[in-house]
Amino acid sequence: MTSHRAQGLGLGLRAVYYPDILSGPQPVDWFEIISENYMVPGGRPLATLDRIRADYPMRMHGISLSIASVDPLDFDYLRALKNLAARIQPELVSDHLAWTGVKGLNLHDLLPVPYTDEALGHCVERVARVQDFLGRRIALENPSTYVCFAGGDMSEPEFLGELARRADCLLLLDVNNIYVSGYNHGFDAKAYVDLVPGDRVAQIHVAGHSHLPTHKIDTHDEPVCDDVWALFAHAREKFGAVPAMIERDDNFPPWEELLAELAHMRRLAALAEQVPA
Amino acid sequence: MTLAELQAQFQSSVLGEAPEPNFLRRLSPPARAESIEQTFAVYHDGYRLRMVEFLANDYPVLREALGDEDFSELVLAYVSAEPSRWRNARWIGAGLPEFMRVTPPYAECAPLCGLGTLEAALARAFDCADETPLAVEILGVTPQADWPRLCFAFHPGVALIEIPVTALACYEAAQKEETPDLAACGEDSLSLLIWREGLDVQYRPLDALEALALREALGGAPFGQICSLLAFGRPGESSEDLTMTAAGFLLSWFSEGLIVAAGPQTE
Repeated sequence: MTSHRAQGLGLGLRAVYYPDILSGPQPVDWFEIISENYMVPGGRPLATLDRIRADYPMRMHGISLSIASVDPLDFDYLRALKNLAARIQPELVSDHLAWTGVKGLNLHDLLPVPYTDEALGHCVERVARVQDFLGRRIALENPSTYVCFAGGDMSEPEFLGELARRADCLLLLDVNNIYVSGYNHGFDAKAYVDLVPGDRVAQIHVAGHSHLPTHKIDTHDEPVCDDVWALFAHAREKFGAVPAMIERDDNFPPWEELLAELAHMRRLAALAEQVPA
Repeated sequence: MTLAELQAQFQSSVLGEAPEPNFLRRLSPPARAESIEQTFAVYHDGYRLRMVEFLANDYPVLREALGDEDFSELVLAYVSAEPSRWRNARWIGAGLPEFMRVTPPYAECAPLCGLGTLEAALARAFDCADETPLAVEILGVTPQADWPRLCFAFHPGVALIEIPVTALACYEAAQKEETPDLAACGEDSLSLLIWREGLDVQYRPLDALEALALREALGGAPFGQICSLLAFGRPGESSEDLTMTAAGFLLSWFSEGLIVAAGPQTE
């Protein structure tokens, strides 16, 4: 089994960059795909994926697992996910600690979870069943949230840590999400990172966000800001050389600009390695 | 409140006109925003923006023809009537042409409905299943006596649609970065064949006779029956000429990669 702590820094694979990526070798250690973009019968998306996969390791990141939903698990979806994983042999399969809908509907959003004992038990049971079905451990990403529920039993990092321990799953730490949620809910992002069990962190995401007068939104349409880079450096100092990547999903800059941002990440990662743990 | 109750109320607050006040009272006050309504709007309004964005990806020319505001209105009417049950957002818009066909005021504008039908078929062909086209040589090794009973299976991307000429004109104008004009070409309709050749989606208009032949072939009719039906389309023509015409269609379909299997009709 590939170690979930494999090295390297990557980028999200997005169709707008296919020509750049296919034009020659790129200074990118691996690509992460949005799983659902390739959970289609055939055609250009899968053909292009196969071409790029021949040259780069890949990681799969889903947005529709809906692990916290009270609806039954969707085994048609899981079967398609498993088939895609068999096709591209990813180093990691991940999704979000979120739900996307109930009563058979799908809002196509990553909706927030109450951090209660009931929700924890529900998620633990479902993660275990998903991992059994896929035949591998999955990683769950901490969400960016805009509301939180009154009367929770634990904090978000405590919930994630307990979920990872009881379900024996991994965590994908999105430091931009921590920053955005910390701003929106008034908690200390660095203290959040310090509460995450490092031995479970299989990957780190960084991204840009939108800043509104009263809150921030995780839009992935801006360069990564200095505060998020600082949080990334802190996470690397704490967790070591965990694979990390930049997510960009809109307002796409030229490829060279994204590579320059990745080079910045590389410099920060190298600096973090020099700091004693 | 149980997890199930919370999720049901959250969802109905997103889908409804406005979030339910009783539900909002279950949420913690925001750290910086003035009200919980303000931050809940990220979910409530975000849902609507996202639906419009998803469908704009599948229907770029329809959006251009309608304009952003009217396109948003169409999408919101559609997802309100038919909220997504798809796990993958790729297929949210699959039912839009049918919704337009039966819902006023869209149903009253045939070119608009035709444009929706066209873009839906193009999107379907784009990422449909891969199947290897059958080489035309299969015809050479099929005894002539078996031809009348020969049936064909088509590539999953093949579609035959009837749309107003204006719908195709709008689509082609948009490809040339010209402004689509829904009133450009009157009320005539045409038959359009859509398919995928390798990884590239193709289309071409068909004349009435080829459209008749293809419709029958797609429905599973054997070659002999197709030739007989063509006689209705060309009453004065000899059966030999019609057979040659049908064979010409068949050769085109093979060369374009439409056909993936052929074999004698089973009784």
